[in-house]
Amino acid sequence: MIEISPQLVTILMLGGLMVTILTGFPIALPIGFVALVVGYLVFGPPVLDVIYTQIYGILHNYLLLALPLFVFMGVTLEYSGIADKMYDALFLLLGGLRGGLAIITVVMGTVIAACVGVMSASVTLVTTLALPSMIKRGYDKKLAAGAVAGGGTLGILIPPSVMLVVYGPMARLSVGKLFMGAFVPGLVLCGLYCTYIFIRCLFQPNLAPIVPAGERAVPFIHKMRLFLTSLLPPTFIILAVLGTIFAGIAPPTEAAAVGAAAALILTAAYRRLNWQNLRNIMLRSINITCMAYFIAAMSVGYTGVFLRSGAGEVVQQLVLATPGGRWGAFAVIMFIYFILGFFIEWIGIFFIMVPLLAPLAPVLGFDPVWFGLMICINLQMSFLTPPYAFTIFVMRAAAPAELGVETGDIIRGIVPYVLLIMMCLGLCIAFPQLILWLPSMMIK
Amino acid sequence: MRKTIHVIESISEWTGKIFMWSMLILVVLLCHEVFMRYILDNPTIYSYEISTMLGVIIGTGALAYTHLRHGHVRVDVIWRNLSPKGQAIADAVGSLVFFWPLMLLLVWTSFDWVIYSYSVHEISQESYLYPIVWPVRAVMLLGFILIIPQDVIKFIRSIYLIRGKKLS
Repeated sequence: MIEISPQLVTILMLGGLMVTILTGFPIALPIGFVALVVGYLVFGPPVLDVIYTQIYGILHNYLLLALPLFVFMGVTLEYSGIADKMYDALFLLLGGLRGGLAIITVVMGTVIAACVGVMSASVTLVTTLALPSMIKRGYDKKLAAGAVAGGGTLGILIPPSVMLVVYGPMARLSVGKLFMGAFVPGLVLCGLYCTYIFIRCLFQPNLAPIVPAGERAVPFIHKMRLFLTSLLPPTFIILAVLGTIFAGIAPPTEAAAVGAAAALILTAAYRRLNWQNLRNIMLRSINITCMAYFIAAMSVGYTGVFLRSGAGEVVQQLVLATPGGRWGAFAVIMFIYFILGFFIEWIGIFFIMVPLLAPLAPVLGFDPVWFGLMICINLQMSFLTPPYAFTIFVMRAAAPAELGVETGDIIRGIVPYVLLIMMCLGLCIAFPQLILWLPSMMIK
Repeated sequence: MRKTIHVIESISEWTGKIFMWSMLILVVLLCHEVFMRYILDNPTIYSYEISTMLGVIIGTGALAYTHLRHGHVRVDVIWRNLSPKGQAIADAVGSLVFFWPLMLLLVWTSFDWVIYSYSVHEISQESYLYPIVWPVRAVMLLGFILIIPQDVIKFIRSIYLIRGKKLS
């Protein structure tokens, strides 16, 4: 045990974290390692009890249980085959429109990826489902890749979003309010994406050939049946989950459990619920949950050491001392999240940064819900911004090789979407009511 | 050697196959509670505490399985661009420096807490159920223990790869 100033602790912990996680070892361990080493220097052996209590506390958190439950719901919906059915239905509905397939992709992302929650899973899902169909019908590769990236990442914002489930407890905010707050910006983004595709295809029709009418000629009865069985159930599930939260009936954890059960029933109704699938659903969700909880556990150990040693105040004072007043500080915070989003899975970012930076929102005079959602939208932009965008790597891995979609195509396709998210951020700054209106309508 | 590896990897596989049920139990438990509270207006006293205990079990029980399946995410900005040998070196050093000291110390601390919890008959007082706490702490300890041999296996595989030998 030696005397270390909080300033030095701040440098050691933040610097140590940056260096160690870049080694590429599974990130939970470097995070815990830095907490252990620096914590030992500051507190001596009791640091182990600090870390242990923090870990036990986060694992024991009732609100955070919504995370495994929403993951379970998402994985179940993936196995239910709803995505394919929905794609077919939307194909018949919008295939005749110029650029229709790209718009379908964005809509799919909005609805289906919203349920999946884990970003790499939702981007993979949309890539494998929508990308081949567009490329084979002669869509421009850049346009197609952009729509997939934009649509696939939209899911992490639109409720029920796993990202918000984590942000809530970390910032001590109501997850329900965050969900409601995310609705309008999510729809604004979806609208912006679709409008962009529509206008672009209007002026450059060669980018997106219309699907021949022959492929869409299906008897009316069949069409209706497809719509009823594919579009209604997921809408019903989402609305049921969100409705109970909105009406103040049940907390998000219980709503998530009901959503998970509903997803299982839907899978059974589609005759996909056999032992093989059930086993895979459980295994995949426990796999994802353990990954997330391991990072969460080590990260709260890290923040426990960080805050107890007084380094939290150092960071907060540093941010508050930014020139340019509250908007200067806001810009700095946004920039920090944006850069971190390049490197670290959002789970790690949230468990480490939110306890440090979220308390600053009221100090700076911002509404905490608005502040949180700005961070989430901003992170979504970070996941899309080349060259280190997470989404690009996931898409590259998921896209079938025979389509010939190069990284360059993906990057050029993505750029307009980054600009559109910036536009959305600007809109939310100019009109905070876009975020705050729905939460204010909630029954408390 | 091969046999040991096989045994340990089977154990890791089984942590997944056993603890995966806790996911389904959690869903059923909470749906049951929703039904009891909102439809029968007769909430249970056990659901809250048991669900948080399940949280601990879900979060740590299958850590070894996730490790076996390469499920723990990396920051691979640099790692991705290394050769397979370079990746193996990075992983082996990571195991030695980050993994083993941290996890062994955590196992040691968790063990102390289990013993302490058992000896004072620690009881959770968050609801009227007053359940004993040590079994949950013990599952957490088990999760931390089981991930270590799994990482040792990964370490051995990395070493073989670095030395250019094959290990089936």
